[in-house]
Amino acid sequence: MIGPKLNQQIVTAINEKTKNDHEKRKFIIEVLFEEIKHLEHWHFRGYYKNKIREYNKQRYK
Amino acid sequence: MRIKKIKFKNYRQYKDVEIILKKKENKNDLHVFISVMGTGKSNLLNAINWCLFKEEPFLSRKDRKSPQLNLSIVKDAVDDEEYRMRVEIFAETLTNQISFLRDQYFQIHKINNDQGYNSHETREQFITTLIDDNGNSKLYTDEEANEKVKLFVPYGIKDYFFFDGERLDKYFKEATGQHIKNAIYQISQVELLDRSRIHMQKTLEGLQKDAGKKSPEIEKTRKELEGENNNIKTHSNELENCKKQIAIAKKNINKLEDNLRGMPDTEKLQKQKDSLKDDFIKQEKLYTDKIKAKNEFLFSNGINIFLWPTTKNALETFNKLEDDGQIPPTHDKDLLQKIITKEKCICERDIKCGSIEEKAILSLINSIKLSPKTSQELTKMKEELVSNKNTVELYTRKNSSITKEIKNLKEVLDGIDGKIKDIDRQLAGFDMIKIRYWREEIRKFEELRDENHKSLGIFETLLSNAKNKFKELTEILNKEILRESKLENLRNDMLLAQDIIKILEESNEEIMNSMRQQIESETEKRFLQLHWKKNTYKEVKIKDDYTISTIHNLGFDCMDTFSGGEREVLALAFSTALHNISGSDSMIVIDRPFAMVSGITTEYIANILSEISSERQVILLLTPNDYSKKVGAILEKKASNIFEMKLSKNERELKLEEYKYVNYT
Repeated sequence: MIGPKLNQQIVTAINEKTKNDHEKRKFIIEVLFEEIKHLEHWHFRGYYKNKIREYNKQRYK
Repeated sequence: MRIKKIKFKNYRQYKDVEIILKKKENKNDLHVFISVMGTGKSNLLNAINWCLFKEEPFLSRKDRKSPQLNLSIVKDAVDDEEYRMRVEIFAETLTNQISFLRDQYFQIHKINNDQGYNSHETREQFITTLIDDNGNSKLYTDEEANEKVKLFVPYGIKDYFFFDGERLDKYFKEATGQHIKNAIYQISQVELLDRSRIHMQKTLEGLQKDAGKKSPEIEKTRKELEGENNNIKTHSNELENCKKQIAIAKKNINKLEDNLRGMPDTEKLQKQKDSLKDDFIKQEKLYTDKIKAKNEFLFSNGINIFLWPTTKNALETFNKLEDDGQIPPTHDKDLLQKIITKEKCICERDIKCGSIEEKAILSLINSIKLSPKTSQELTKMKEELVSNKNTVELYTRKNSSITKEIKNLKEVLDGIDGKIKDIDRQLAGFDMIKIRYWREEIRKFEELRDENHKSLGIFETLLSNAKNKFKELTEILNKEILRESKLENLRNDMLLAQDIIKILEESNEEIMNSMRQQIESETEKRFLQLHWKKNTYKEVKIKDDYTISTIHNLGFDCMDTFSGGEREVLALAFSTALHNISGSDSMIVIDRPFAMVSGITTEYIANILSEISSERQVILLLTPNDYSKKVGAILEKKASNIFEMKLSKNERELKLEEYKYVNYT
């Protein structure tokens, strides 16, 4: 059931809330896709931290 | 996600069976299995559940006592040899393939040369294999394999994918608001948002800790924030616990009320009986007192009654004497005699011998038969006789009145006795101790429910206060971090994390509300479409706490008055709406969807299921009776496969054949 397909309603809600920030939208959707893969808890902490750093590096370079 | 193949080896009747569920061109992903009762139809549902969750929730009473291993294998088993039972499910998504394989090994011990057997499980294995769109496969075992089952059908909501039509009527009795919320939450993937939010929150906390290391002021606020966060967690847990307790209490109350259905209210009847017994004792005392009074009355009037014929005759004689003028005495005979003797009247006039006066006096003397004394005595006697006569007449009236009162009291006593016997008849054959125990349990669970309802309000306030405090502290912390020039990079990371958390929270809330409304409207549409009563129900409501109610045209909630069939229709409407709105593309397997409905409703349900099968895989398990002419006509148009399940001659092995079509269309 929870396959690679993300519920369209979730995508719509995220799109709605990140209208002017394409990068942020991409960031959240990517995070959700990783969640779909159901990563272990310990893995996530590092994953999120790196993801945020990566995003902010892009944003403020 | 659809099942494309299931392979069975030695699982109950499925000794060596392979079911291929191929969707045919121009047909829907609808697959129908038809078999008579006891063939092993429900065991297909059990096999799927066993393979995925190691559970067999739909076992018949007979199967519960039979070994899991195929009976032919058991019969021909070599003593102490190990035998394998296997169910393997092959499923596919748009891009991936996934298979689940569960093996269970048994060792068989024969008892006294084939007189019986013992079997015990030796070892087992569960393997999940994922194959991606590039053909790369990855194998998972044990816990990892179990985790992958969640991708297919999460355990908590499996009942919304695999149903037993015969039990659907229990759906909303058992499904509390919490279960429904959970179902919406999981099927719609909203939990992804929540999981991401939790992880993002932890990341933010990590970043705040990093910031705290660089400034003691920040560390102080952070610790306060951490404390408040712990309060939020504690109150949330308390709140959830309350909700769980309420759900448990409600579930148990429903279960116990189910047990008591059709049974007399023994407590009420016992109270009635006790009260009747008290009344009986009071009335009985009145009755015996009255009988005693009657006896005394009879005794006191006995002589009068006994003498009544004599009294009656005497009175008649008196009356005759009165009529003759003998009594009361009119003239004094002695005085008249004296006048004759003295020849002088009392007025001193002479009464001459032979005169007219003397003759008149003599004639008068001759007419008087009783002496004045006797006459006076007799008059006195008459008074007593008349008094006796009055007593006798009063006796008749009083006796009749007492007798009537006694009769009435007897009737009251008989009435009370009849009622007591009626209550005894109502209570006869029931286990009073068990019934009393169930009623006490209901009272206990009602108390538990009410207590938790009270606590719920308290914890909601505490949680709300903690959240407000948390918000305040977050703002303070943000300001402190902004002031700290050394924290520029961390600050950006933290602001982003906070922003994402907010987006995820808001999205979560919006989607849950929107989903609830959509599922409510879709459930209502389907329910009204499926229900045979077209003018009775107005709407279906999913309330804020996710409990379901159905509103009658006259405006009242009528869920509690639903029949089994109506509950089934609502359950089916809700489940299909849930799937449709949530975007889940997983299959639905239903054992006997028409078990509790009849007539036109079976056709409505067949049509709905047939429609649903254009969106997702639908597997139906039916009896030949379920597969009526009209149902057949509806399903045959869309079904990719219709199989018939038959048992072998020895009734231990199931065979699958293509159903011989009768062209109903």
